[in-house]
Amino acid sequence: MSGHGHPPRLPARLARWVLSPDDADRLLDALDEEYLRHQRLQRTRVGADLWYGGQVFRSLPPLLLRRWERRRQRGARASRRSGPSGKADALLTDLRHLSRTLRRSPTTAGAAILTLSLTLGAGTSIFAVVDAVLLEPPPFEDPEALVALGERDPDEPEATPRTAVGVATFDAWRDAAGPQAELEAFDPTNLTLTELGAAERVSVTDVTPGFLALLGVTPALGRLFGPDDAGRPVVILSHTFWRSRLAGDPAVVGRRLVLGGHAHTVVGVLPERFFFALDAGALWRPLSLAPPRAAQDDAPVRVIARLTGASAPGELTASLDEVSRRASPPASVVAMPLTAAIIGDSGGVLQLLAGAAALAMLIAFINLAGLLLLRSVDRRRELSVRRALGAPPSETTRQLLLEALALVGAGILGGVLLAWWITPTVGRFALEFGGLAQRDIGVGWRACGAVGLAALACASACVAVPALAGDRTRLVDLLHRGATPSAGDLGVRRAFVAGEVALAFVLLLSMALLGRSLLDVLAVDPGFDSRGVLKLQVSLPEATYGSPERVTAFQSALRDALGERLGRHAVALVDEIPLAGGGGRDLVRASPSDAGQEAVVRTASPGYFEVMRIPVVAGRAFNERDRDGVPPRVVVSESLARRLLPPGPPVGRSVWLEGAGQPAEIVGVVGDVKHRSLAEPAPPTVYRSGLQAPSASAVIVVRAERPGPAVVATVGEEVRRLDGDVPVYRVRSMREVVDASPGVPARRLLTAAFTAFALLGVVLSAIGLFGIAAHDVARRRAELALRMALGAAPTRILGWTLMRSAWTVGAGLVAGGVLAIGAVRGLADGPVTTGPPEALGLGAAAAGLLVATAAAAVLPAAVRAARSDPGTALRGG
Amino acid sequence: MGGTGVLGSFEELVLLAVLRKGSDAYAVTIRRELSERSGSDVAMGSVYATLDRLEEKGLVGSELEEPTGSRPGRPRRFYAVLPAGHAALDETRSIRAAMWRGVKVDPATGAGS
Repeated sequence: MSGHGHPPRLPARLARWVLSPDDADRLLDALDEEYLRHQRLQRTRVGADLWYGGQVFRSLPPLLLRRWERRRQRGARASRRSGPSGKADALLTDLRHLSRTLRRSPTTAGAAILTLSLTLGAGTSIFAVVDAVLLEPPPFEDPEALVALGERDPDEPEATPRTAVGVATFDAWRDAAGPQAELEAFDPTNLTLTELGAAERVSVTDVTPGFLALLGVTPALGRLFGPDDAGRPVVILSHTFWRSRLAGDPAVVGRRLVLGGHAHTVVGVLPERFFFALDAGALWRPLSLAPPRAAQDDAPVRVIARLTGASAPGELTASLDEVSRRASPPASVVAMPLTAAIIGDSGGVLQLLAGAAALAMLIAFINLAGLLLLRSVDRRRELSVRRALGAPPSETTRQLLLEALALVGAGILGGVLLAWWITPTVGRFALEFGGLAQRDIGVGWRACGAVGLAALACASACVAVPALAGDRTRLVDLLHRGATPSAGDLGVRRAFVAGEVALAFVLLLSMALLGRSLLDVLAVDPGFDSRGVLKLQVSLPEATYGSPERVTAFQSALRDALGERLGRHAVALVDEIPLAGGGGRDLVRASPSDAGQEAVVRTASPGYFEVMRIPVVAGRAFNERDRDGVPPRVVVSESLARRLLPPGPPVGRSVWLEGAGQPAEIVGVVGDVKHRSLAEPAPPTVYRSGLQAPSASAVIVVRAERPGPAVVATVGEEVRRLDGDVPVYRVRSMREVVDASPGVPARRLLTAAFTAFALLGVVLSAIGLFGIAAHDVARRRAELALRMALGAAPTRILGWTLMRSAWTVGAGLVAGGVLAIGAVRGLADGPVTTGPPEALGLGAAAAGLLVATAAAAVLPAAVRAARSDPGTALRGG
Repeated sequence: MGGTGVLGSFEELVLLAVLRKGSDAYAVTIRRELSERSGSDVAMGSVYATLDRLEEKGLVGSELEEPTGSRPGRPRRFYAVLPAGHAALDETRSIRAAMWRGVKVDPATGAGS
C-alpha cells in the first residue's frame, strides 16, 4: 500500500477527498514531515503508518468544523447586513444541523420514529379505553351509592352470583330493604320494530318506572317514566337510536313506534352521555310488576339499589338475606358496587393490555436512548473540539435535546394520529371482548396528555444519559481517541440492550403463556360439533303470535319448509344455543319434595341433537310425537342424571320442573354441553320438547353442505313467505359463536397484543445487539488485528466476539427472569392457568428464542472480526 | 468566550506553545511541543484549526517563508503571538489564578475544598 519512506496513500486520499485543497495541502505537508520522524522514532513502518492514518482521521473533524465556522461567519456577516437577529440565526443553524444529522442516517431516525409512533399509538389507544372503562366514573348521579344485587348458593361462596331473580323475590327485597335503600329492576329483552323501514330486532330494556330516576338521569327531551306509566305502551329512546333511526327529530315526543306489534308513544330521549353498561338498550319501556307478570316465574328481573344515607352494602345484604335464606332454594344475597359490576372481568384484561403497552413503550424509549447515545458518541468529538475552540458547553446539550425532541415529537405526532385512527376500533373490540355494552370511545386529551407527558419525560432522560456521559469526557482523551465509542459508552449501551432483552423476555413468556391458555381453551370439547353449523335468530311478535299454538304452527311450518329445501335432518330450532351467554336456569326435582338441582333449561325441537351432533347416550332424541296432548317429555344431560337421579336407568323416570304443574317424563339422556363458557364445567341441563313448550324467540340451527350465504338466503325466503313482518337476524356460524364465547376473545386479544409487542421487543433487542457488536469490533479493530498477527486463531476471535454479546444477553435474561416472576403471577390472577413446570418450559423456550436471535444478530460482526486481515486493519487504522 | 476574554483551554495551550517555540513556531513544531508536554498525540488538524481561529481573532500573526538553501523543502507558515494575544494570555492567567486562589484539589481522592 505504501512504499518505503512514503506515508500510506489511503488516508492522504481520504483527506484530499474530504477537505478543501488548501486545508488538505497544509495538513498533509505537515504530516509528511512528521511521518519521517515517526519512522525514525518508532523504527517500524507499521507503527508510523498507523500514527499517520490516525492523525488524518482525527484531523478531519476540527478542520471541517473550522471550514463550517468560517462559512457561518461569512453568512452571519451577510445576514447582519440584511437584518435577522443572531438568535434566529443560531436557531436556523441548529435546525439546519439537525436536518443534516437526520438525513445522514434516515433509516435509523425513521426506524426510531416508527417504533415510537407504533408503541405510543397503541399505548394511547389502550390507555384511552382503560380511561373510559376503568377510570371515568359511570354517568350516574353519585355512582358510589349504587349496587347491583344478585344471589348465590350459600354453599358455594366462590361461585359467580346470579343476577336474575324472580319478581316475587324483588318485591320481597323491596319490602325488606325499607329505608336502607331504594330498589329498582330492569329486564333486557329484544323486540321486533316494524313500520320504520324493514322489520328488525332492537334491544329493549324494560325498567321499573323509577329506574332511570334512581340512576339520576335527566332526559335530553321529554320526560322520564312516572309511577302511572307502569305497563303503559310508552317508550323512551336512547340518544343513539334517536339520532340514527329518527334523524334526531326534534318533535319526536308523541311519535308512534310499533314494537312487538303494539303501538308505543315516545315520551322522552335520554342524554347523549348516558349509557347503562350492563345493558345498552336502544329503547326503554316501563315494566309492570303487577299480575300477570308477577306470576311468570320464567321472566326474572335484574335488580339495582341506591343506598340511602349512611347504610353500607353489608347492612343491606344482611336485611335481604332474611328473605332469600327462607326462599326455595335458599340463597345468599350479594351486593356488588355498580361500577365493579359493569367492569366485570374486563378490568383484568384491560390492566394486562395496559401493562403490555407500557412495557412496549419502555422498550421503544430504551431503544431511543441507545440511539441518542450512539449519535452523541458519533458527534462528541466534533462537539468537544468545538467546545475547546470556544463554543459554550450548552451547545452540545442543546443539539442533543433538539434531536431528541425532533424524534420524540415526530413519534408523538405519529402516535396520536395512529391512536386517533385506531381507538374507536380498539374500543369496540375491547368492549366486545370484555363483554361490555358498546359505546363510542375516542382518544381524549387525558390519554394523549398522559402518554405525551410520559414520552417527553422519557425523552429528557434519554438526552440526560448521553449528555452527562459527554460531560465526563476529557478533551485530551477525545483528541487521543478515534471517533469510536469509549468502553464506558458501550457499557451504558450494553445496559440498555440488556434492558431490552429483559423486557422482550417478559413479553415473550407472557405471550407464550397466553397463547398456551388460548389453545387449551379452544381444545376443550364443547359437547357439540360446531363445524358446518349456522345459526339464525327468528323471533315472533307477541301481538300476532300470542298463543303457544300459533308459535308452534309457525315454527313447524318453517321447519318443514326448510327441511324440504335443505335436508330433513339438517334443520332444527332451539330457544337458545350453547355458549351464547344466555341464562335460563331453573330448579329441577326428582320428586316434588326433594331439594332439587339447579339446571340449565332449554327448549329444543326434534332434530336438534342430530344437527348439533350432541350424542344420545340412552333412550332417544325428541321426535314429532313429543307434542301437545301427550304428557310433558324431557331429555336430560348425563351430569343431571348422575347428580339428581337415584342409581338405575334414567329413561322412563320423571322430573319436576319449577313452576310446572305436572312431572315430565325423561325420554332420553344426552352428552353434556358447555353452555356458559369453554373454561367452566358443563352445567346439568334439561331439554324440553319444542313442540310442547314453544318459545317465541327461537334460533334456527342448520347443518348444511351448501355455502353459508345460500343457506341464509333460503331461510330468509321461507320466513318471508310465512310472515313478512318477522326478521331473520344475528346470523353466525357456530364456529364464530365458540370463538366469541366468554374467555376466548379476551385470550385472543391478549395473545395478539402480546405477540405484537414481544415481536417488537425481540427485533429492537436484535438491532441493539447488532449495533453494539459492530461498534465493539470497530473499536477493537487494531487490538484484534494485533492478536491475529500474534497468532490468535480466527475461531478464537469469533468466540471472543460472541462471548461479549453473550454476557449482555445473559444479564438481560437474568433480569427478565426476575421480572417474569411478577408477570407470571399477574397472569395467573387473570386468564392463564398454566402450572409452574409448563411456565418454566415456556420460559426456557422464550430464552432459547432470544439467544438464537441474538446469535444471528451478532454473528455478522463476529465473522467480520474473524475474517479481517491484520495488515489492512493495522495500516488502515 | 468572545473577543479577548477568557481563552478556550486548547487555544491557551496553542498560544503558549507558539511563545515557547519562539522563531521556530510553525504547525509541526507547535504540535510537537503540545504533544510532548501534554503526553498525548494531538491531532494536526486541531492545531491548524485553532491557529486559524486565533489569527482571525487577531491574537497571532503569521508569515509564509519560502525554502532557502539553508532550509530546503516546502514553504512554511511561521506564527508569532501579537500584543492582543499576550493580553489575552495574561487575562486568562489572572482569571485562572483568581479562581484557583484558596482551592485545593486532590486528584487521588477527588476531594477538594
